[in-house]
Amino acid sequence: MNGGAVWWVFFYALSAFTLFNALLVVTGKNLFKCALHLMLVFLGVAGLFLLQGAFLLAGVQTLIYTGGVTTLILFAIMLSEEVVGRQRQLVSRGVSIGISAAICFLGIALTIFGTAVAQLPENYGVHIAPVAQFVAEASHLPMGNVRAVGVALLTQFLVPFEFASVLLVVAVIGAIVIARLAGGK
Amino acid sequence: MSLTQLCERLLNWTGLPVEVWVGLVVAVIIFLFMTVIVLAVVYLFRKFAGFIQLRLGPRYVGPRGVLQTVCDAVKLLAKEDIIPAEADKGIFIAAPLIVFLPAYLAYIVIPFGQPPHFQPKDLNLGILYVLAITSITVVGIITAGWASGSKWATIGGMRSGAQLISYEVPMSLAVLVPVLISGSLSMKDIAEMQGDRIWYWNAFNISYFGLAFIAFVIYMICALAETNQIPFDLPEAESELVAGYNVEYSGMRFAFFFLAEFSNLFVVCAIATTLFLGGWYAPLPFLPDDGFWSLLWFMLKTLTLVFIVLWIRSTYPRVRIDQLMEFAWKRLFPIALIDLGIVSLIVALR
Repeated sequence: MNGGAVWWVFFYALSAFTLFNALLVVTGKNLFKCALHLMLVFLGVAGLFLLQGAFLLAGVQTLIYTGGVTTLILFAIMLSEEVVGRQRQLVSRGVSIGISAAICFLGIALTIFGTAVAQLPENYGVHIAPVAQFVAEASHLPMGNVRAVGVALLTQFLVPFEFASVLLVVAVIGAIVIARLAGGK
Repeated sequence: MSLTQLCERLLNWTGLPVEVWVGLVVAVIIFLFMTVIVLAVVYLFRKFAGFIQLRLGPRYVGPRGVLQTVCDAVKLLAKEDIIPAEADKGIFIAAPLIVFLPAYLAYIVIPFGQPPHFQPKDLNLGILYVLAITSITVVGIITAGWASGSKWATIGGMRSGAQLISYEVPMSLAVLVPVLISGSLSMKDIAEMQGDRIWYWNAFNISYFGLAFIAFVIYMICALAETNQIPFDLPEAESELVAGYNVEYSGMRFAFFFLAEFSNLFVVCAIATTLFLGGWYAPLPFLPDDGFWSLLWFMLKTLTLVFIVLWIRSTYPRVRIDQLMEFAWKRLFPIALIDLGIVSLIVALR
């Protein structure tokens, strides 16, 4: 894995590809094209997951984000007639807000990389180790680390996992309620 | 100088590793295979639909008209390439590729015969890979509809988006049933778990009380919807949308859509064969199923499924859009979910 000139070439090429498309997403004026660039960003991230040996994550990333989320976004764009085909200035000019958001993101990223998460040795028992070590260990597990992810989700990370599902259910119910309110009038 | 020596010379001259060349050769073989399959399936479909609808189908080009689809393909390639004035040029050009590439890449993990000879590459996450790759197709279809700058194409693209997203859910749930039973996501492992006895094939295995068969039926229904086949062909309903999302396309770009559509039809049937009908194995242990026999068995099963789909295609009328959505969310989805739940219970207690 983490070695060889070819690996680094791929890594930097993919990173550049992802960042370039991400830039186009936020600077583009045509909303539909922005969404298509977003799809390329998702694919680039999936490629980066592949490079790290996280095959399951790459697959799920493609299935849910590239196939699902992009489609929903495109669908929403096409349904909102106002936006279709119209050129718009989509870049926010709030510099202070932008900088504070960037600082927040940096803080979160540093916190995540500093914090220890679960580590899964061969027998799938869970103990605590830093992120980098976790990634290195998990990628050597058999079956493309499906089992490792499954065990981690249903043991160490059960509560956050369930919270995520509750959040999704709340979002779905909220969407239905809003749709009903709008449709009733 | 013999052929092998010549190849060796060429390899050394380019200086690239052998794996790159093997990959390229495999890629070309897959493309040729895909083209031949599509041409054959289209010909068979036209003959078969003709038979069902009391017509003759193609008959003039070649014996019994077998070369008709080849001629059609050549004609498409030779046609003028038209890009409508209203179209968004860059995206208009990209859309057929977004539709075609997933259809092409899906072939990589399908075991057409006994691995490793007839399977380009066995991935640990084989079936997840197929689901993920083919889910990109819908983006291409919506994009094609939008970029054409035409009402019909846009409506077709939107219908397609709603339809494909809805049917992907029960389809994924149905796919999980054989995955649970065999405990692996690899196409090779799933086929090998079923073996060469027909009563152990997932679709017919009575130790799951027919639940796996229900999953098989759900998968096939969703496959019809995912490949825009009648009765779920609303995205390209000829009589109301002219031809749907691809109406503004002509020549080679249209050929890509066409190739992708029929190739997808073949791929979903090939996946159903692998997941539910024992892959490349013969139905009974004393029948030969090694070497080229395995390829024969696989193609036999897959083409049978293709024929069933084409049979439905030339028989049934089209459903309405509300019926289509209701069927996916209120019928198929709960059935698939309950089915999966009971199967996982059986697997857990086994």
